[in-house]
Amino acid sequence: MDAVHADAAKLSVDSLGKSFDGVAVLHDISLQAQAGEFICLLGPSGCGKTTLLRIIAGLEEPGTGTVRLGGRDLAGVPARERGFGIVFQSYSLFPYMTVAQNVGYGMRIRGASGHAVSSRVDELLGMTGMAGHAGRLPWQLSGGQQQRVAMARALAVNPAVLLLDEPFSALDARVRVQLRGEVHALQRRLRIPTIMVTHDQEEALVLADRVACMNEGRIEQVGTPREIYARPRTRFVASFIGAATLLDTTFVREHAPALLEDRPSGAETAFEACVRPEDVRLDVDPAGDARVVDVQFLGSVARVTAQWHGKSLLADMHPSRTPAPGDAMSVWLDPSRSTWVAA
Amino acid sequence: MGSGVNTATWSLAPVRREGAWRAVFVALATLPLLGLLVFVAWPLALIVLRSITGDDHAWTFARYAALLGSPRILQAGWHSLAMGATVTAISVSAGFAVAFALHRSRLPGKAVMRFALLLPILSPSLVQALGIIFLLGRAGLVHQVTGWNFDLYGFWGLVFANACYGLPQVVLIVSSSLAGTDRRYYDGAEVLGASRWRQFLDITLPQCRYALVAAAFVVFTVTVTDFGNAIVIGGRYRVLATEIYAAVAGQLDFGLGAAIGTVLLLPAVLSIAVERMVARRSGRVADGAMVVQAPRNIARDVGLGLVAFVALAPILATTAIVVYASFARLWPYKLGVTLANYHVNLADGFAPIVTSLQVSLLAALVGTALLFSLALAQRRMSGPLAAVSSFLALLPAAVPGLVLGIGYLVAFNDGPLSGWLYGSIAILVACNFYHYHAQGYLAMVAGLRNVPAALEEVAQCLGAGTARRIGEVVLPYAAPTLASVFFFLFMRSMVTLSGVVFLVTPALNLAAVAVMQLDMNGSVSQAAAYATCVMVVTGLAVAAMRLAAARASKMVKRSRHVA
Repeated sequence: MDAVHADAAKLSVDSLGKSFDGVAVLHDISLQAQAGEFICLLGPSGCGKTTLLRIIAGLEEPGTGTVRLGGRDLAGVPARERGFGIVFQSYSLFPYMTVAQNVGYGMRIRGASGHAVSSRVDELLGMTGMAGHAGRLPWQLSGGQQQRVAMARALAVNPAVLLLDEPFSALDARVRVQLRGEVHALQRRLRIPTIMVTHDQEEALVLADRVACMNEGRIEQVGTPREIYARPRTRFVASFIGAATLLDTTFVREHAPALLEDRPSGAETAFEACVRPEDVRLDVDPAGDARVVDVQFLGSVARVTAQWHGKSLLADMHPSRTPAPGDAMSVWLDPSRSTWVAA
Repeated sequence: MGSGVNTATWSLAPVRREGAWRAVFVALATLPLLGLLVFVAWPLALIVLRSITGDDHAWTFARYAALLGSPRILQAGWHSLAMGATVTAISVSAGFAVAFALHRSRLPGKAVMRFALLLPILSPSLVQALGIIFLLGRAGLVHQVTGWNFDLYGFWGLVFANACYGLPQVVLIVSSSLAGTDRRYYDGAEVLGASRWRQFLDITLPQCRYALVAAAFVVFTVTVTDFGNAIVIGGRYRVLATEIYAAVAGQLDFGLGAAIGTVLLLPAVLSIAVERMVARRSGRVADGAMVVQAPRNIARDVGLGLVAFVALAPILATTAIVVYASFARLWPYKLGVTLANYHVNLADGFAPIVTSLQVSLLAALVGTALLFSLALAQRRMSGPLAAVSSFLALLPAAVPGLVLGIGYLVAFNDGPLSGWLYGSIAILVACNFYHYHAQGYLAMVAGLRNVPAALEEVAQCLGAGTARRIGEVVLPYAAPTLASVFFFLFMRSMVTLSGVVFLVTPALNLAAVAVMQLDMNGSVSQAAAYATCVMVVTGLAVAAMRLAAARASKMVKRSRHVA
């Protein structure tokens, strides 16, 4: 793609802020989506991720800052003129319209001819695996099928940006995983810049090119799923995504000084070491300074909680070689696999 | 664009720009709010003003002093209180028992019970009074057969007629909180070892207590401000409502009428305040509430069955006897069937029924449209405008029909709008619509809450403008509500007496008023015939409503899991 084209597809959010009734829910949010990129806004409920998505959609007005599409400022452009596609957790189909009528709705609004609408509808229903259901009414479909129709409806107008608001949350676990895979494949194929809101870290890690991890109205870190997991930059990101043990500097200096080598300079309390359970080695050792408190069997691994100089340390072990509660263990942490996060 | 999408076959036309939605919503709000100002706020202000100014337009409390100084008025006030309290006590206790029988028993014949409860709502307000006169009056069936004499006219006759009218309203209010109680409360208590009686005391009663308080206030207010029954069966037992009618319709003393009217606002205002408090406290019924299944208990069902029979049989009996008497040759002496009573001694014959139909259809049509547009606009309002708008919309709940009618007399008999309104169908339509504005408005607002916000937003993102969103998202979901508000206004307009009784003219009469006039002329059998006609028409409307509402809500029910 040439530079101009890439710029045209780029969604850019700059220094966005928003308050409701004097309570700030978004602070200084900046985020760019490149052409074809899949971005997940990940965070606990109440972190502002849905508000951010609604501002991008034009359903809420930003308090401060701008949303641009291909360099064009979208301020004052109502949602209906942005040409975005949106899919909500609640399937939100028109209950009295057939599947085909639902999918063709946006095109009919734009005055497309009947022939154009029906051939496009057929194309999308084929793409989403709903080809045989064109004449059905929404209540005759399962939840997963309804969400496929909602997806087809959002894609029918060739949206400049696709916005997904927890689209899989209302589905059964099995359907969720299946539909997740289909959406992933569809998005890769169509290369429509996509922003998805989710509180499910697994969903975010599987789908996203980049994850924006949000907390209390701020983006704490943006990065590829690997970066976010392996190199969290803040205490929140480290503890929200995956399991981790956080150790303060004083503790590390005393009990695991090898980790200090990578520590950024700063005040004693400014950083903490983040250690993932799979990077902790525990060995049964009667002279060891850690004591097993609890063992959880998780299938492929066993997660051991050990008391280590007053800290609860998480470690993953092979399920065939798990210690029993009360066993004394020696601890070995891999300096190359630990990270320092802002406390 | 993307590689896999075939964009050549059609092109994206730009979405048509519509006027800013703000302008649309301002337009939606203007007409309904203007109507409320002219037909509620202004007449009400004039009444209160008239009550505190003398005939020379100087400020004075002389009218209230006159009320307090008049033994006749004080006695009527005391009578109103005593009668209101008695009716409230009877209606609330019997109504609670009936509601309990409907929702917490295995009694058979619940359809009959529901039918009996529907009767007072769709019959002209005098039917129960007429019925008991036919049954127990001086020329009543019981006297004819047994020779016994009852002193029917007065306190107890009035209490009976008003209780018949109050009972269904109590059942309606209490039923909603009984039906909304989650079965799991009872299951939990059962597992913890609570007896059935304890479950009743600890779950059922607390769940209903606010509904009971609200029902008591509603019944008290309706009873104290109703005067149809008081005139027909009250005899010499004078109450405030008959005094106000005598003052205004008899002596044309608007000043006295205004003062009593203002006093009658008080219980109504109080009841609104209590209802709002109740609504806040009782909270919203959980969506997933499991319906309570009554356990088998024969003693309970026999007891409840007896109470329900005692409470509901009189309603069925009085209504049935009115219909029967309307076909009798000479009640109660010759009971042979005739249609003679349907040749009524009114100058305009059955024209009032046609007028009532016109007025009711207009009130329902115009009213539903105004309420819909106000409720739509209300969703986009905020701050003081929203508060003022919702206050105005709910204000009529605090205004008894009687007071509204006098307000219309004071405001529209002369003045700038009198040329258009005096003696016109328009003023009758307005009076009936605004009398029931608050209930219609609440139903409409609740109905619009069913419109899924996400679907509206999807439509917006797909390019739909305001008009499309109203037409394609809001209307389909609001349809059941629109239908039920339409028929509610229609039914109320067909049978209501208070309010319009002050506004009819010899040239333009209404059916409910004609029933009262026939009765006061002594043509009781003809009054029965007239009332029967009204019941048939309203009954047909109810049937139509059930059908329409069932159709509309089928779609909404199905779509609950869709949108």
